[in-house]
Amino acid sequence: MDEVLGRIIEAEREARRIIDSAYEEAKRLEAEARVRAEEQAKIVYNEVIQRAMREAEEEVRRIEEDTKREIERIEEGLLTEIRKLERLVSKNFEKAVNLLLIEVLRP
Amino acid sequence: MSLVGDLEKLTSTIIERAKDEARNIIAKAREEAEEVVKKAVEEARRKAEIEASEMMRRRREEALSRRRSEVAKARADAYRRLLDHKEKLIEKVVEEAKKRLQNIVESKDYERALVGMLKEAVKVLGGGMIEVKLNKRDARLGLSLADIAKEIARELGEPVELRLSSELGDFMGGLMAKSLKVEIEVDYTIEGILERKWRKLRSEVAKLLFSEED
Repeated sequence: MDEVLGRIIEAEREARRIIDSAYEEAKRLEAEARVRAEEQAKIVYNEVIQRAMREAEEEVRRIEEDTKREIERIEEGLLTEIRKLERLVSKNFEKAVNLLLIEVLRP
Repeated sequence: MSLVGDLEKLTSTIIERAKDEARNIIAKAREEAEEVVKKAVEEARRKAEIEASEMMRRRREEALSRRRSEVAKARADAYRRLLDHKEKLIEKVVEEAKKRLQNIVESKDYERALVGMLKEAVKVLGGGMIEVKLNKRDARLGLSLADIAKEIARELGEPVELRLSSELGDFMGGLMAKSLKVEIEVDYTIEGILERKWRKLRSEVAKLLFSEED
């Protein structure tokens, strides 16, 4: 009878060891998962941020190019306006000078 | 079945059940581990996307703000340069008028204009004893101040006496007239008249200068 109980207790011990070992393995998996989670989270975080930075830089570059074009348009507008003024002045200069001279010399 | 056979079966069952439980524990642990990794990655992605969105919004806003500022500065600068250019073009009129007046004061027609200026100055002063200052060239014209005085006196109905100042004026043409009775001097030099007329006519000249009408 003692031998029977002994075999059963021994089997129970072996079963306990197997389960304890499984729990140990589960703990190891959990710890490994935490490390992996941290690493993968960092990778994903950096990927998203880096992509966003590239997109932001691209958008900033587009805005700067658009600004440059707008300033060029303003400069062109100014030159057009100056050319128009020069044309009008060459047409009206004599009249303007004469108007002034007539007034100065008017008795 | 013998007792030994039953015992073997029992111990074997105990071990097999333990192995099953162990497999379940590990499988569950693997499942949970994958879930931990998945959740961490999702959380990191969610956090990164929020931060990325905020960063992109901030960079865009900064760039747009710089754009607004640079475009506004360029517009203001262009407007200022246009005004400066207009100003220079307007000033060319008065510069040209000065050059032509220099030619006019050296012409024969000028004497008539000078007499006109003198009459105007005397009328402004209300007649009386008046000292007239001319430049060196005009003083040599030999104007008959007595005849001019008589003519003005007739027009004014007041006595007029004109006296040429011994001092010569440093001006292009025209004259300075000083009433000796009331100690008032009026400026009828070409420069003075031009300056007054220019102040009065500047906007009219500018309007005419930049007019699109023929």
